[in-house]
Amino acid sequence: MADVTLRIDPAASIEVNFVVRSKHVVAYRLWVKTTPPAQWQVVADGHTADHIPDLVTVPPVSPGAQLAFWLGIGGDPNSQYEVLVTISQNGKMLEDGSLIERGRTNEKGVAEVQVLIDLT
Amino acid sequence: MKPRTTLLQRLALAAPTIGALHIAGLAPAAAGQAVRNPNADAAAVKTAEQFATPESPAFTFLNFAPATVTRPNTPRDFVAALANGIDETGHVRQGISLEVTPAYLIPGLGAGLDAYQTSQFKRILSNTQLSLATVRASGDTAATDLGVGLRLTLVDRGDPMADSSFTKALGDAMLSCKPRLPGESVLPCLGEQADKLRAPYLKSHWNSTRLTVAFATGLRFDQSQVAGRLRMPP
Repeated sequence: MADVTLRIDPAASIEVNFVVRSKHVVAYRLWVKTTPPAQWQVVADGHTADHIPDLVTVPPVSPGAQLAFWLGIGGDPNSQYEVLVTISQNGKMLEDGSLIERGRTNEKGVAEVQVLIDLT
Repeated sequence: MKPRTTLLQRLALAAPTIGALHIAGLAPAAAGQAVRNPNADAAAVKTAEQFATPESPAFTFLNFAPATVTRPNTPRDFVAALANGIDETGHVRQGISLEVTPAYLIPGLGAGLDAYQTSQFKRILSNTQLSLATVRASGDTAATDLGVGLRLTLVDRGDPMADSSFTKALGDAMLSCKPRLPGESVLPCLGEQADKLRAPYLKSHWNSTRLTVAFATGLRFDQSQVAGRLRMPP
């Protein structure tokens, strides 16, 4: 079951942006599953400490497709992190398209988050 | 580059520690109403261990070592934790221990990594820790002591997260762990990669300049009642 459901414009590309709002590094991977072929395809890999923009463009998809992202978070042990993931189309944020991931790293200073998104 | 230890660095390490312990011990007296804290007697014996700046000054102030510490991640959790500290009859609960980073609870105060690495002010703000604890007052089972502490890291030249070369290496290393498909957990790999980088970094920066200060003060709730008479704990 998906964590989030978003209504999309099937004619427009989707932009996903990863922003860290705490003193952490975030590595990410973004997948898309279209119908067909109904297989996960990697859209982008990256991390937020390389000074490369973390804005990913996903080509237009039909309703019924899914997005998924993984975040690997690194920082001080037992520290609070906050990551904002925004999903937009046509330059506007989708309704419920602002996802704030908050939590705390473990004793090794890492955490991971996975989110599955249904696109309707 | 091999780090050097200078006299100034050693003083910088020691000075705030002494200050922190003194401030923690003297805060109630400074308010002019209190009697001496019997819990502070132990702090008078300055062993080498006691020269460390307390991680949670409120706990040290109350001489309290909680088994579990509540660390709320959101403003809502923080408010809920505070509300849980008072029971339905208006009495302060004993044994509360709370630790928060205010920068991540107050919108707009938190710093992303770029700001953290470029702004000294943002670093201080991001590393400020607030601690709060309640314990049964010594010798009075009905009264409750509340301790509130603040810990500020003013300078830390050995902070890996302030070093852009370390954080880039960490990002690259974590990315090597990325899962093949959604749903796969790679947390052990992330921990392993972080350890591989952090351990040698900390080893090579063990004597970098650091300046940390801590303050604590407290209140005594007679009969543990919030609305009742308050006085500074002895």
